[in-house]
Amino acid sequence: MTDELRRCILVVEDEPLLAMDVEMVLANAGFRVVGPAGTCARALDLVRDEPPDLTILDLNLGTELAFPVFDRLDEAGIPFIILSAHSREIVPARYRDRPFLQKPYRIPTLLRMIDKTLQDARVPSRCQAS
Amino acid sequence: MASQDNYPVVGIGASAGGLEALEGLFRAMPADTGMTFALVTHLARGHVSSLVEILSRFTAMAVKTAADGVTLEPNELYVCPPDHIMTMVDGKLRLQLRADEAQRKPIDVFLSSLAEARGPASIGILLSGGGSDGTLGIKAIKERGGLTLAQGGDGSGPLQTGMPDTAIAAGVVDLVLPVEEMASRLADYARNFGKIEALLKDDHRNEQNVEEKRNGYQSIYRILHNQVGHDFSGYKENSFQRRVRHRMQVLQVASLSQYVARLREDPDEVTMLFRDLLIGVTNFFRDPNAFEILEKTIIPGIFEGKGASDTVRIWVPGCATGEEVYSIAILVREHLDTLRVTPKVQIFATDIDDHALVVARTGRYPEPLLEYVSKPRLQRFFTGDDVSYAINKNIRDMCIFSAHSVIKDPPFSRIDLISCRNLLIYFGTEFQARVIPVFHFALRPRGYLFLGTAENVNQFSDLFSPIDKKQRIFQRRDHVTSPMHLPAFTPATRDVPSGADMRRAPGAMASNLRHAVESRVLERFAPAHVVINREGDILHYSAHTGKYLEPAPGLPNRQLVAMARRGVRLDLRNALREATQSRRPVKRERIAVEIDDRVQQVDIIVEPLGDNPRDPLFLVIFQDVGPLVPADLPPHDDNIRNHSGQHFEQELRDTRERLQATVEEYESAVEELKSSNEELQSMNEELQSTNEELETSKEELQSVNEELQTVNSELNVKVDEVDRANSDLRNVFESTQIATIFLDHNMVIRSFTPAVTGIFNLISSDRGRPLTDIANHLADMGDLKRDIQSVLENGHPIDRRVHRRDGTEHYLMRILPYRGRNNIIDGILVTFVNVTKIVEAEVQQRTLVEELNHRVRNMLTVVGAIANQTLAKSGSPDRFAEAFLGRLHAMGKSYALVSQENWGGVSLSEILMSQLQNHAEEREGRVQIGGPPISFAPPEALALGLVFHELATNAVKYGALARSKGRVAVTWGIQKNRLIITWLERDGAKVGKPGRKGFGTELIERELKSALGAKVSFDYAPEGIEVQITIPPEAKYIASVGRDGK
Repeated sequence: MTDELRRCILVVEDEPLLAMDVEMVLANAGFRVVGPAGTCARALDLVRDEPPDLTILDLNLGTELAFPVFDRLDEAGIPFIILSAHSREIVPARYRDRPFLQKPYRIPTLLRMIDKTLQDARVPSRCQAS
Repeated sequence: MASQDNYPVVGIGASAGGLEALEGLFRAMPADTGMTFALVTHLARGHVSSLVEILSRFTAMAVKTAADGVTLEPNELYVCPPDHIMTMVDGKLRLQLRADEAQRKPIDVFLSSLAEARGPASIGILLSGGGSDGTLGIKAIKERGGLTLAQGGDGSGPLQTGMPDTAIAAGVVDLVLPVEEMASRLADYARNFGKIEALLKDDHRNEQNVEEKRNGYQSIYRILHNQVGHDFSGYKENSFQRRVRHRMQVLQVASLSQYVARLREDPDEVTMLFRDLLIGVTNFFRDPNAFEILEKTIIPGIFEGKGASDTVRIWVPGCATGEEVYSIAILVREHLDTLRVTPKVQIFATDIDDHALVVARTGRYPEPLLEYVSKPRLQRFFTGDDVSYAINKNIRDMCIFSAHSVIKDPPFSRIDLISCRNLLIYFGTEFQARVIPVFHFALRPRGYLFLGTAENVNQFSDLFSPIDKKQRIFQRRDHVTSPMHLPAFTPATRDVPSGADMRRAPGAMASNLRHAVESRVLERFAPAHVVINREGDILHYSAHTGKYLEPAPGLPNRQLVAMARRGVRLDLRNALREATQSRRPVKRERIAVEIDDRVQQVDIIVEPLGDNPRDPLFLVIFQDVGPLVPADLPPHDDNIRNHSGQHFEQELRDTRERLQATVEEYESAVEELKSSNEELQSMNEELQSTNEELETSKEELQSVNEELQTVNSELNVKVDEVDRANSDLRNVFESTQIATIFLDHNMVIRSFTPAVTGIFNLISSDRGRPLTDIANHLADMGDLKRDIQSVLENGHPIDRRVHRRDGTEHYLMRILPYRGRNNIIDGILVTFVNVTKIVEAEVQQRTLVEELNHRVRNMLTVVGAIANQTLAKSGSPDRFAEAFLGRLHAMGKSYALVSQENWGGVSLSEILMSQLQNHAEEREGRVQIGGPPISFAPPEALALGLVFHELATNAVKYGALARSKGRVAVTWGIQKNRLIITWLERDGAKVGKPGRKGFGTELIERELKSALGAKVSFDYAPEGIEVQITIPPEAKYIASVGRDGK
């Protein structure tokens, strides 16, 4: 990443081990991690309080599905990448063309997808100064 | 006629109601009588009969369908198939296909051919049935010496009596029995058949035997002559002996002398023998000589002088089965063809009751009975094939059949020819004496009487004169009044001196002279006179009655008063009335008789004559008074005594005139009444003719009715079977849960199982509507119509998965061909099998698989994350391996523990034990665990497993378990609704607070937070670490009261 500004990425994942892992990967890649949030409520709070440049979120958050967060992110114009162990069909039709990565994934693949998504969005970082 | 084995063949005829009769007969019939049985029935055209099958149940004998050319075997029953005519030739059965065989009287045909083939070894049986088929066949069997039976009597009498009754009425049945008795009689008959024949055969070697036989027959002739008055000794010996043998067979009498004794004591048997002897007399043209005379002499005679407006009337009393009548009709027809001018012809054929007439009215005869009909006549007057013939309509229409008794009913009149050849012989002489005068009355003047060869009119030679004595042809004598009212003539009134008078022997000569003298005196001097009877008919004229009598115009009339001249009539009538009433002489004086234009005064005397009180006679004498004088002359002085009486006389004359006129009017009125009477008679005859036609229609209906009854009988048997099959089918339908719809080839619903109503809105009145009409709840049916068409054509089933529109039920729809008779596709079956459960299971399975995939991927991701994290913190590959594998191992143990509990609750102790197990074993007593029973669900149990693993690993690496003296104590309890777990390490290596949070610690914190919302605190005391986990009450765990108490 050549950008001077560090992008911040919101991680929405309920499984602690996986959240820790993503955090480590992102931190190593130079991103600032917001969260992680393990529930919809927590995620929505973070979106409101600390809107990220990008969100990486799992479909399944314990017993609930993350669709409300999708909607909120969509409204807010925040790009997001969907991570899931499920297959793509489970994604609602309106989000099916969004970036999707099936677990388990390879770290380089995730990083590439993040770069591409950020580039496509062409949104200036809205991260608060860290 | 003889065959190798002379066993009897039994021909059976049956129709409506025959099934029951056959059952009764064959159930009782032994299966080893040695006879062959052949059955002919009336079956509906084209009808496939199960008769053979049904009959097999009643008898042990083999029951077979008769086939053309099959040889008859003993102890078997052959059944004639429908649409066929069966005959017997040379011991084999012949069958011919005939579409309307019932019309041809198949029973008559078969039985008469059987009679021809087997003669005395034939037996004919008529069972229940309507109509008259069989009578002629039975007659043929009887004629040829066979045994004949008809169903009747008590017990199981016939349901339909037409067939047996007609045969009985025709007098051709030997035995009338219920069917059960028939069987035992036939068995006896068969057993003794042949023995009696042998016994009676002439055995010339045995002189005594021959002598005995001759005496025996002589006795029989005598007995017959005594009872019936006929001498059979001139009869053909062979025929006579055959008849006697036959009666012996019927009665099962073994010796001739026994039979003679039987005849002596039983007059009924004598009558039966008598009838047997006479059978065969009335076949078509049977007496060739007699018929020749009829043809050449008599029939031309009765037609002579008849014009187109005249009618020739012929009467055949006792016509029975009608052969004689039709024979005469044929001769008449042939004669008519030779005439230029043809009068009308009426042939009246009568018999005692309607049963006897049924056969005659039908006019259909089997071939053997037409033996004596010449080929040209057969061709011209009959229609038929080689088995049976029917008389043609033009002949039939000449004949009128009606029931009539010659003794009781008034006779016909103005008959030209009476042919009575089969009747008188059955009457005794007394009846004959009554019947012959009836015939005399019935005949026209010079009419003919034709009698049978066994009959004669010797006593009545005064009524009939013989034309041909040998052939029994007589002509009516006309000069006698009909003697119906005068059974006995007194000799004194005879015209012609009777031979009896002449034969009065001594003194004949003297009386002749006296007679001559008296005649002369009478003639010359006696006044004119007549003798009349009580009715006023003149029986005798004297000479010279012309002055007083003249024939009345019109038909000849013997009435005296009708013939009296004018002037006399009135007084004569009065005088007669007075005399007949008072039986005393009456005189009327000075009556004026007008003779042309002159007048003669006459005294009229009427006197009773003779002394027969039952039939009084009267003598009427006309005595002239004075001469004949001209009419216009003034009355003689003697007549007028004084002038004052003149006008009285005038008045009297006027009165007489008027009276005369009245009398004449009255007489003409009587004439008119007579002619009305004639008209009424002829109307009556027309009505009789109409009646004939109705009888024929009735018979046709009866025959149809019979067919229907037979069919009905068989159908009843079938109906039971069908009922049972239907029942089975209905039960199968209702028990099946598979919805099935039956369609015909037009996609119209024929029927459906109850289970269908759940899928389609079908109700029972939807049968008959096309399937596609009806609303259904199913989707994905595809093009049902095309699918059905395809199955109809090629018979390959088509499957489709369909489901309810609301998605709740799924079905497997199969479209199958419905194969009917001969395996031809003529409909469609559509079945629906509910596969919802299967579909649901599939969905569930997909879900499970998906779930499994998801979990596995998740698991792999977690493992990947552990690897990643461990790698990041491990200095060397060895360290990495140890840590990584340790963590994986711990996870494995956790999972093992959870699945051990079948993914139910796992207790806290167990979780701890599983992670600390190794260490506890290696270092005894160094690990202690205690606390109330608490269980966690799998997700929480797994998280705790990880946590305790980290704590244990750290204890091993850095803490209490690193030194041999170190201890770990884990205790927990609930305080203020919070579950507190305390992990205490002591006496281990010295630990200090780490500078940076290790991965393990981070993991512990996050796991506890994420899974249980719990907090954790680390206290790094110098003695050892103390970790406290605080789990809030809202976390998911179960605190159960278990074995540990609390």
